[in-house]
Amino acid sequence: MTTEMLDEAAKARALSDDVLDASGVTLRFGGLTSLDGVALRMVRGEILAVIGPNGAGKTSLFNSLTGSYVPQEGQITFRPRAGGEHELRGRKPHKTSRLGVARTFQNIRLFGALTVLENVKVAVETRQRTDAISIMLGLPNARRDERESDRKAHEVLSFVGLGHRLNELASALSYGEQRRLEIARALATTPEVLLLDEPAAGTNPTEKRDLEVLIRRINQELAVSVLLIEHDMRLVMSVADRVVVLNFGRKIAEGTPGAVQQDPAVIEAYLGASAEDERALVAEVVAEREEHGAEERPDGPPGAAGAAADDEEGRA
Amino acid sequence: MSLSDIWDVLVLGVVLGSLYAVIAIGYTLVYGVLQLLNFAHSEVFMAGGFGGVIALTIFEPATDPSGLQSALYVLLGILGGALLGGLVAFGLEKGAYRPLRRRHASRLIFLITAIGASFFLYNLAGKMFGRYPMPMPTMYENKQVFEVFGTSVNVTQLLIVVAAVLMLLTVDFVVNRTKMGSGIRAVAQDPEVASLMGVDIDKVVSRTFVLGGVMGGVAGFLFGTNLQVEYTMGFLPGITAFAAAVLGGIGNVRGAMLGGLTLGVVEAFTVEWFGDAWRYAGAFAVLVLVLMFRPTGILGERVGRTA
Amino acid sequence: MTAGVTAPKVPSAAKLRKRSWYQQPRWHRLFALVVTALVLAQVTGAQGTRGDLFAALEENFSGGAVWGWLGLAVAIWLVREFAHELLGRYTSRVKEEAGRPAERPGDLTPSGGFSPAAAPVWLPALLARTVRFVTDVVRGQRLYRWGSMAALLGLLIVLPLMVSTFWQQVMVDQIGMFVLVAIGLNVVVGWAGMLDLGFIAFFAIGAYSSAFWTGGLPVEPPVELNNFLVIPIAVLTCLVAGVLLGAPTLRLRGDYLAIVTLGFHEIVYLTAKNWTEFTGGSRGAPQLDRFSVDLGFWSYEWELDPRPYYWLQLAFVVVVLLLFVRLEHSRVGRAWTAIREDEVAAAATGVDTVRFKLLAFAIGASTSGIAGVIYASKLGFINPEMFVLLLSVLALSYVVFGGMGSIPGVLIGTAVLVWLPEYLRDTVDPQDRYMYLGGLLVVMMIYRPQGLLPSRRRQRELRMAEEGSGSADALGARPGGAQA
Repeated sequence: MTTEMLDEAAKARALSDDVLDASGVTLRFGGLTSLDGVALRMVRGEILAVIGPNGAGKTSLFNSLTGSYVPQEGQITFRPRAGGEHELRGRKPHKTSRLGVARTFQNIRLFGALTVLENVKVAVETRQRTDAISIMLGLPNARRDERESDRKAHEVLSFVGLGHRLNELASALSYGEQRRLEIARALATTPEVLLLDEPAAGTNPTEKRDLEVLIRRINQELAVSVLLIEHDMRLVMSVADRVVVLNFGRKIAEGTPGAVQQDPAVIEAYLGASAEDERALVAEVVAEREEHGAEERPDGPPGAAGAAADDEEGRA
Repeated sequence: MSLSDIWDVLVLGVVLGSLYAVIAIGYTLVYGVLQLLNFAHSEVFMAGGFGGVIALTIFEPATDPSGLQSALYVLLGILGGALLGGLVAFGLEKGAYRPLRRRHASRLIFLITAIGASFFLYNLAGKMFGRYPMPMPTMYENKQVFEVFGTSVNVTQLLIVVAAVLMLLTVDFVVNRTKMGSGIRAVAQDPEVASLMGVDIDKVVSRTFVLGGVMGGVAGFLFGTNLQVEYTMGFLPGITAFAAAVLGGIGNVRGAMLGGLTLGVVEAFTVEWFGDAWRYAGAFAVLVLVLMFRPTGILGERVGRTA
Repeated sequence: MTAGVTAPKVPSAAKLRKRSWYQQPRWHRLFALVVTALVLAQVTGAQGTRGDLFAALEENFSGGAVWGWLGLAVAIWLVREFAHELLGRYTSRVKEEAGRPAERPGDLTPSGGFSPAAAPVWLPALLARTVRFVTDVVRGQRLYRWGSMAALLGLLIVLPLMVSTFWQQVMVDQIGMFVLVAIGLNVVVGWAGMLDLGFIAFFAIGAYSSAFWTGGLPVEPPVELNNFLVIPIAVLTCLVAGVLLGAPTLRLRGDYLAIVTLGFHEIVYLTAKNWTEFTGGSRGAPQLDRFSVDLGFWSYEWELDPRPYYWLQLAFVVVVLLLFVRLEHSRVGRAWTAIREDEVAAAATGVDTVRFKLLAFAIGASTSGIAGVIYASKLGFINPEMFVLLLSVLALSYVVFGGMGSIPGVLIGTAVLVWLPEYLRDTVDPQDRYMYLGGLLVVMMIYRPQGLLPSRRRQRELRMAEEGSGSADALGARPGGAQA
């Protein structure tokens, strides 16, 4: 199975086509512009890192790609391996996930009262179609799906190295294990693109090394393109094929890790501009609050999101 | 229907609506600081009605009161209502909600507690004072005061509207301009930060309950003056005022006022057009419709940052 | 656990002020106990009289009863304040002894032997340990699960043969009915985490469907049907009603959903009451068909005897439970839990949150519909007053009281809370029944918020909430300012 997948990955690389292609993505919250015409091209099979100072709009970008936010402008095109093109802007989160774009969250969001296995099964089962009636009657297809879901969840969990903790509560895991469980949950939806939001945050050096290996394996063995937000530069430099740098909601640089490190604009962004830091921080905080407040859609109907967003702002 | 009919209905609606607005404030304030649907607020309202009756029974109004006497009696009733309303709200917070807050109970637990407290309180009142409707002792001669476009407005109606407007102005002032109000707003916005800044959350919550309770109590007295006092009187006005608070945007003080007034007027017109049987249907239909288009109410939910 | 040397908490700025004597917690506790005693004196005292506002107050606060209550309060306070340390030391010793594991019967010997002097410590501990040992052994048996279920079912089947007709009626008209309703509501509230304060509306819709299709309403149905055939129709009607209510309202957050469902109930109730041409108005449907089977070679009709209805009901409950238990442990049940725990994460994982919430609404509603059909046909009549808002509120408290999300909990909780007012009918003044019920709800929520028999998942959620991580329901942030 592994070699077959390796082949596939190689083929994908050889084609070097885009799996994600975003352009002109602009996202505003009230007066704050969180993303300003961001363009992002992701080649199939690569590991692309998005870096930038706090408040640069990285998480907003993720939320825009996965449907948690609806940017006011721009296109986000997803090209799955099977062919065809899908516009992701404005697509509901669960539909985006079904197309094959999975994500993790910066502040881990597991289903704490479910076990490790159940957490992953939830994800596997979003791809199943058995209806409630067959389940209630215990029809053969429902049983088959249940077995299949168990099998797949076991497989994914042993892939990330949690095979021995299946029946623990998700909330009982260590921090690093929770991160891996979140990745497992995302992988269980068999994504083509995996978005990792600061997977190394809060992990210790050993866990970081394990994570590095895991990201590589996901990329190579499962042929998943990985989009990575990360503050840990060592991790970024060692795993990323290419790096995109955001600052104040704009893309300021793009290229190989080595090239980006030398870019004067990037150095400037990380060292200078302290005066504007505060504003950026405010934007980030607002964005984070937004994320907490369920799927608020900034440009949705005036009621739902608008007022709720205001409310979140009020509590900020 | 003629213009004067419309005025008739409108006056009834405004009278009713201003009561709803005052009750709704109690819901909204508590929601603001605790994110709690205080289902038992309707019993605070009921207690206020009894407070008025008790105060006036103790002092036995003269049968043919002079103007000054009338004013005194009204004041007495208001005081009685405010006192008992505030007391019940205070007791409710101390006895039922504070232990729950200590253990970080979920909102559903709060809701069920509130429901239980509501059952307990109205039946207790029924047991204490008898399960019969009782009229408010006569405080004044309920004559026509003036006419608007051919619609007569009597003393009770005027009293209700004036008292309600005064209370609404007071609450708005208290919440937006006083130290107590800034405490309430701080806790409403972020309790954790507020407590780090030295705000005593328990005290703020207690005061919020008392403030809402006083409002509800006076509304209960006014309601009893208009109709009757009975141990079950809280339920329906309570639910409607609760709907009013939600309609205006729960947690939003001015929203509650607006919501109350709207539902009062809607109710009056529903009764006029569809008959008394449909009284509460109109209010809920409006509520559902509004929430479909503005899921957080007319003015959106926030305390303090009034629109 | 030495009570004397509790480490002082770091005082917040507001608490740095010096406290006077009356601000000491112990005087607070005395005050609280005295107030409780006074309330209890009124609760257990005489009823109010018409025309004399203060009659009951005067009677209740002048007799000996109030002094009895006050004395009790003071006694409790004295024990609490002055024997507290002693008591604490004793209970902790008992707890320690009781906590010792026992693998074999020999392990049950107390740690200090059977010394008579230490008997107050090891005796209760031994009792607790023996009970635990035996239950562990029994539960270890493979047969236990099925055996206990079968025994319980057997007991439930013969139960109506052992009680008076009055209790038979209560079991059918009230307990059985509300158990079915609560099982449905549990799907919505306990599993999917949505707050529904208007659930009895579906019950009413079921009952009226039954009345309509059996020809009991003023309007003639297209065909008159047997009650058994009405059930699928009622289920379908409630399903559609559930979806119609749910579709536009599911994007509302917890509290808003609560008030909208409450409004929905009120509108259904008012329609039943006022649309006289269709529903018979406040008279309702006075004469309804009962259940009957006619298979040609065998026919049976359910008549006035409540017992056959009870068994029919029991059969329905068992079937519904068998179906729902499967659902709980399936992809649907897990998806509901995921939504309840973290809706954003669930959606990001690909769970179609709206669809699953609608599903919960529809399934819950249809269960309630079945109950409605049985109810209508059992009583033989219906009118709008049987479906008042109060019942919706009560139904929700049954679910939470028992332990929402847990099927055994919901069954027991409903049975207890429906049974209690009927039991109190003979014990206290019948008018006071709901006062006791309300008081019980408050006390229960304060001391055992997880309910009588909580589900394991739910228990974990509540524990996590108490520790300050995660919220215990899908209704958004927690009250009281604790941050999720």
